[in-house]
Amino acid sequence: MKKYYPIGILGLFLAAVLGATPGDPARQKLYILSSHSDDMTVVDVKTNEILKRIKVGLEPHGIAAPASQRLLYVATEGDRGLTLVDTVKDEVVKKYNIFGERPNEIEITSDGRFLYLPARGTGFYEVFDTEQEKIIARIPVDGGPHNAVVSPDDRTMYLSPLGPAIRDGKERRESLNRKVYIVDTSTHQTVATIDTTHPPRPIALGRDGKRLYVNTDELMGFLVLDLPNRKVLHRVTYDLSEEEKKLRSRSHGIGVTPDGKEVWSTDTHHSLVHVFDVTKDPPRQIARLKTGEFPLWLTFSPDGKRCYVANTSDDTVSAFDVAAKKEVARIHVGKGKSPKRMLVLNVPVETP
Amino acid sequence: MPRRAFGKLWRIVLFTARCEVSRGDPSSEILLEGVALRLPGKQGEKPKITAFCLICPHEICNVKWETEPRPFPPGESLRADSPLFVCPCHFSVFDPRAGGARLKGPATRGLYRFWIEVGKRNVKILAVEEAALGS
Repeated sequence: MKKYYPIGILGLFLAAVLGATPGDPARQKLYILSSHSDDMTVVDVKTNEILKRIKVGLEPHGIAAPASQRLLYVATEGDRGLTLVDTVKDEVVKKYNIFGERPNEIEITSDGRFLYLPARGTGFYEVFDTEQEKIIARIPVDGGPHNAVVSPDDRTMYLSPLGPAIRDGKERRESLNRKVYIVDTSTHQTVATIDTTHPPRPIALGRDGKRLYVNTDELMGFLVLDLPNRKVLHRVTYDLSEEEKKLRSRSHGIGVTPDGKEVWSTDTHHSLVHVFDVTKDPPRQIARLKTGEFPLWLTFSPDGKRCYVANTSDDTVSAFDVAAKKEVARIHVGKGKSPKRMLVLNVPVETP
Repeated sequence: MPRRAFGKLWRIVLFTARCEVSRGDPSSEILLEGVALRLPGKQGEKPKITAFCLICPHEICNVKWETEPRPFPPGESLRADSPLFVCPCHFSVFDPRAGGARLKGPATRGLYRFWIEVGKRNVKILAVEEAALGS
């Protein structure tokens, strides 16, 4: 008879670093944060059925996982927390409450060692060493710390703070951040910035790490940033009719397909996702897809077959077939949940 | 909008208003989504029809009409005993009974309001606060 031994936190850390053994069976799972609640919904990608809801803390706002995909972290804005979840068992392992106000969209290096946590209420990105379990650096930025993405080689973190800073619990709009920050992860220091003209919003990195795609305020579209040369390469706009342009909207939610060939970007008030071929220069729009109400974030499955779009206003998530450019399922997350950030992981299946 | 649509208190009527930013120039039109409803009057007053812009003054997300009493946002002390407008993006909360005034959240003002004319048969949207049209 086999024996089972509790592995504890150190064991999970080692699992994060070492990853799954090649050949382990795995299941794709979609993790959806309910921003207007305290839970995370787990969905089987194969069937689109809800497997479980996990209580993670108040107002979950950011989600990130290392390359092993055996665990993930959730930042909970409402209680200044960071929750560690075992994705094999879909159970909370630990909760940290050591961070500044309003933790937001976290990012983690692929080895799982350094987690960047934007503490929106403080003006800093806090760097959390997951091995030592403590904050080892605080990176000051203009505006409100909000989004971050890591380069494929883990050497660089790209930060896109919101326009206004928050001080004493209030937004200060007198001076807005209008740039993306470039941080060296070996020192956790800012090495450069790139001007985006308007406050940057969600960002997504090209698969080769050379281009950054940036939603901004006042732009129905996205910027293409040339990272080696640290400049704006293209300003790309959605294909909208003159009538459609009359409706004020936002682009808030962007992603790159795993093969690096397409960028998908949301259009909130028109309830659309616009799809661009980014193998062309400048990128060329190739599709417009109807979503549910007020699409605010999107994510791709690691195999590139599915794109999930969070329809924040009607509490659903649209599942799109990426190749066919067609919605194949609508997942109802729950009334009032306001789904936002999501992540799809290939999680090893626990065998008894 | 037909006046009979407002027969019931608290029943919302959605509309899209065409707003000319520059008079006589259709190319300067902006579309604004709005909601009109008949609200109970304060003590001694008659119920009246009022209309709000659905755009949240914070970051132009569309606010939602919330009718179920629960805390906004989760864990907070504000509880609704009558319907409220709530922004799903950052949880600003607005009270229609107080002229759309902001109760909580990062918005720095209440909902933008439309001026309306209530006739015998119809309710007409006349104008909107200039701030609703954006920069």
